[in-house]
Amino acid sequence: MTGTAGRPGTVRRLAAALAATALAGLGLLAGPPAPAAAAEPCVGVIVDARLLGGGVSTGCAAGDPDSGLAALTKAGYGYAFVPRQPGQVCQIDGAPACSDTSTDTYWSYWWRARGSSRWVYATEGAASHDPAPGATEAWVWQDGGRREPPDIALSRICPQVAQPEPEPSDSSPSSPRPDRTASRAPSPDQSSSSKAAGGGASGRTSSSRSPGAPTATPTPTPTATSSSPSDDLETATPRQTGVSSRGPADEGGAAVPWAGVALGGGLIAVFGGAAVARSRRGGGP
Amino acid sequence: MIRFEHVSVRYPGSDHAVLSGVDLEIPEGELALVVGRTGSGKSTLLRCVNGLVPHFTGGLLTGRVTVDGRDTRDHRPRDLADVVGWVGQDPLAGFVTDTVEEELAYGMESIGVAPDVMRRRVEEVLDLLGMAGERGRPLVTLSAGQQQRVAIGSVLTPHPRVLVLDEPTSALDPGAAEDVLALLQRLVHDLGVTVLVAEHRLERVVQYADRVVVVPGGGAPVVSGPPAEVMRTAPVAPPVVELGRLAGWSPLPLSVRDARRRARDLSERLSAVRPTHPTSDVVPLAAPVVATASGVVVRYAAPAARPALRGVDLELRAGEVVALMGRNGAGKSTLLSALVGLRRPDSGTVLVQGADPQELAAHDLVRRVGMVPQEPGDLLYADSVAEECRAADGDADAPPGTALAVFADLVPGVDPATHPRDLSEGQRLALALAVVLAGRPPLVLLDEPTRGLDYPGKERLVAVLRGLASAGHAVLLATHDVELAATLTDRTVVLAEGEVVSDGPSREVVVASPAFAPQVAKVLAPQRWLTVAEVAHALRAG
Amino acid sequence: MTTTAPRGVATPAGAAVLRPLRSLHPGAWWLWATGLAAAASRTTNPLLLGLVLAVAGYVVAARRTNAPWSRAYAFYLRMGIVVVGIRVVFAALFGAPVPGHVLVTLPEVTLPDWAAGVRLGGEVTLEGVAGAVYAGLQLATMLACVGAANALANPRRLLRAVPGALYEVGVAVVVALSFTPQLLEGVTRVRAARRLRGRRHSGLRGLRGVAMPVLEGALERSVELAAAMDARGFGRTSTAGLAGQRAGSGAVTLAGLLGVCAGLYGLLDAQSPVALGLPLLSAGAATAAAGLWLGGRRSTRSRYRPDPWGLPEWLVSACGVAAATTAVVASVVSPDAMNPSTSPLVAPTLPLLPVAGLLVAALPAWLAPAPAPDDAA
Repeated sequence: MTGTAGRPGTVRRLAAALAATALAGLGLLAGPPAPAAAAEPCVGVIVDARLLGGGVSTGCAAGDPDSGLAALTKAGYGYAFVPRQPGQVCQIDGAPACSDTSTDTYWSYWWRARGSSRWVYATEGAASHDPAPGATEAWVWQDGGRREPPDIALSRICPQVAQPEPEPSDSSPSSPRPDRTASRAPSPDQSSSSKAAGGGASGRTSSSRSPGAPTATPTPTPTATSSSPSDDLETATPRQTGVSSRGPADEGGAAVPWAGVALGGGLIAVFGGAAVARSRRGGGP
Repeated sequence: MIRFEHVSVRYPGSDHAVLSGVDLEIPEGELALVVGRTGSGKSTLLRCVNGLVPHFTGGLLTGRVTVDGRDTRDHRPRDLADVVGWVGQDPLAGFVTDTVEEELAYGMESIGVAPDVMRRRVEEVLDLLGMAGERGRPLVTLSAGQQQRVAIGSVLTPHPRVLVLDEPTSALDPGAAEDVLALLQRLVHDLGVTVLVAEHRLERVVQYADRVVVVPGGGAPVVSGPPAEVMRTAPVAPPVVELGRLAGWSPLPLSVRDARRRARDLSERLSAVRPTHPTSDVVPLAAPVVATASGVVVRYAAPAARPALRGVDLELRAGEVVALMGRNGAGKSTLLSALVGLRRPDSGTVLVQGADPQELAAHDLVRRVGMVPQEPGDLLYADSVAEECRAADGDADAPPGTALAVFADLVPGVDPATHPRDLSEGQRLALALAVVLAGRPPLVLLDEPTRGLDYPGKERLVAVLRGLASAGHAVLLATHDVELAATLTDRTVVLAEGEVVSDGPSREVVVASPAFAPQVAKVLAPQRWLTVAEVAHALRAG
Repeated sequence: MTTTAPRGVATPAGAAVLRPLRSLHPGAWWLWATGLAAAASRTTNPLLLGLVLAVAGYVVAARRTNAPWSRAYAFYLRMGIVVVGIRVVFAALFGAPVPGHVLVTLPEVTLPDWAAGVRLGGEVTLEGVAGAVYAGLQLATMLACVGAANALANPRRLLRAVPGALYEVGVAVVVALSFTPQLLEGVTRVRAARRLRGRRHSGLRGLRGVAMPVLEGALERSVELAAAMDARGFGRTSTAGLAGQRAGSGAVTLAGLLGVCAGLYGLLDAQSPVALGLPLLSAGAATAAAGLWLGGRRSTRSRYRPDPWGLPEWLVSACGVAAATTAVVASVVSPDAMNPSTSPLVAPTLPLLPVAGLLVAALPAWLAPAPAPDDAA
């Protein structure tokens, strides 16, 4: 089992390359994200969680989002990927728990072209699909079938198309993060979070139970920590406290995870160093 | 104990019988030595005792073989495993487990011996082998002699009544061979085991034998009897016996000690004559140097990293035959590899006809130095002898038919369409030698060429190598075989622990050391006679 | 000869038998390693995976013997790095696009509509690479656990503990394991010999020149080995009540295996009735075990010094099971810590329960009996 002369050299080089990439990536993490694109009519987003016991909510993504996922974010929803399959969405705004995703139960992604009334079941992932301005996309939770999204016109989702909001550019660095961590919290309150938890989303119109309830008044003034007071009464309050309690925790929590990394790294170093020392020394009883 | 009744064996697809009409009885508690030429059927005879013929090898067996009352017709080899222990030529090929202790226990496990009995017997056999300290060692780390001893031990643990060994000492140096033979002696004398041994190197074994079985081959009847009688007319005989035949001693001496007691008259007769080689044994110093090694240091690969060769200096001249001797592990094979360019010396230089063999292209290398490795089969890959020779001629840019002519010279009467793997050991060696000699390289190296060769085969090899030397080639032989070195070589180099311990004319070096002295030298000491041929020559002349 | 053996036993009267310190039953080491691998399979947290690697490495360094197979761990670690590298390359070239910080943009190859779901090239984002690294690290850790088991317990000793009915299969595997290094050694020798014949190593034609002698040599050796094993009694079976018993035990084993297959199908298929799942699986496993036991009674082999299964073995296995259990519990209780998100990329947190389990899994470095001073690494 002694390695030949050549292999450890190439493998070491490969390991060094990986480490360098990791460092570069960390550096990138600190840098600023790209600015949002300029204005055109928006893209509508519908989230249908009826089979989860929730309702239908809509959001408007202003501008021209680059991908379906960007549109979802811009419309004020948080999402999470299946842990080992980045690219597949398993949770929108905290619903449901990611372990509920399976071949029969999942978030399906549909899109409807501008001016059309036909929903198309997307064949490519939301990350690669680029919705044209004026298109609508929908996320429908499936439970063993192929349920089509509700037929809501774009004008009802994005009543005012024009104003480009200044808020997205300055609040987007901080807001998406608490949004997403909020949605992925260990306490997914499925049925109550049918309305997407707000928490500082930009340009987001409030959700409504579309089959019958009148549209709520839009609340275009989100702040970082306050939730958008929707008029879905029974869920509003829990959501607010939930979000607001999460807010400061998130701000403070950003520092705490590094403690975990430090502790974990320390343990690894202790055991690894002891192993190397033991094997060099030749170990004894 | 072992009885053969009108036994004939014919292998499938062969038109002649390997053994025919064998009638043999070997009583209990004897050491029986089976001798005969290569391919005469010795191995087949041994495998009949075990039941391997015909149950494992196939073929037709007529007659009856009985071992301890059990007929091999009704009992397969595995059913005879508690009565007959069989050790093949290559012990490493027969090992099933990893460590010494487990290997010793394996045979008993298969038979179903109770666990506490197994424990006891393993300890006993470890003591018998003298390997109690190596019980946990992996088998691949043992030396060849130790492996052979463990192989014998592993068939001893089921307490068989018969032990059958097929050439146990062929791969061993003289010291290790002595250990193995002493072990066999002890088994016969102390434990009453019946031992049946086939050997080529009779000089080591014949003194211990109680009975000799001669298998002449070619369907002639098998002769069996006390050694002194049978050796009188045996086709193969050790030098001591030949000396006895020459001098007319009766009964024939079988060991050096017996011969010395008879040899007083002979010594006196010969004292006036100076021993000379039948052909000249002085190489004129004016002969050109073919190869030199200066200060060669070669280390083993990591993690051992100890030196295999520590500063070896060697010079080879055209027309001389040099023997390279030394214990297993002394560095002989490493030196040969360095000379042929397979190993780069960590320091020092090797030059063959002025060029470094490592730098030479394979094509040029073949025309300057040729080596026959320990396993001649490694060189052979074609489907027939003829194709092999043709390929060799092509590689060496020699006129077609050169290699085949050399082969026919070495081993007459072999069909060129034979597959190389079907040849016997000696024939395979001859084919490898023919392939190497196709390019007529000025330096020829041979690594242990006499493994598995019988006396006539050795004589033919001696003749060929002598012919090469007269034609101006330099020949370097790494060997354990003292008799061969005495017969053939002009100069002997002894290596120990990677250093040259002595380097001089064979006559002086070989006689000086008791471990390396040929039998004739030991018998006629302090005179320096090496071979029976010299004595015969001197008696005729004087 | 051993010079010092503090716990050696010398029997009187001549034969000083120095008994080596006992080595652990190989099954215990493999159970421990399986527990670690199961723990690694429940998480992609790089901190936890790194801890698994470090713990396994420490136990290997503390308890391995001097035998040739004990250097395996480093080899498996190197293989793990290669695995991670391959995963990263594949994710960069073929992976699903993950939004995030773009590292490099590869030229994108557009595929026809029928392959619309597959992407070639495109942007390579840090989050995508991180996801690939996490997944690759998980696989590499599981490989390293196998390597640790290999280094601590020779697989052949494990094969010695197989049930009697499968003995011949076990021996075949053992022999196959030993043939590979011999084959490699044969290749080296033959390549050297080819240079002696003046042949260049030229591609496919050179291959024949190397393959033939090696394979022929291997064939000869295998025939020699078979003869030796036959002569030593391999394959002896008792002749009492042969035919009916063999058929009976074979039928029972086969029925058990069919039950196991059906039970597995039932477990994996969400639509099938409950009775088809776990109950049938257990019944099938029990039946198969009974069939193996019945078949084992037929063989007449005995076992020389079988490795005992005592308290240290129970403890070591328990440590492995503890690591696996804590990981399973943590994956239910705190799935986000066990599978930290890569999109967005956040610093992984350290869930304390699996850490405790892994620290327990490091205990075999002290609980297992030390190898004999002769054999210590």
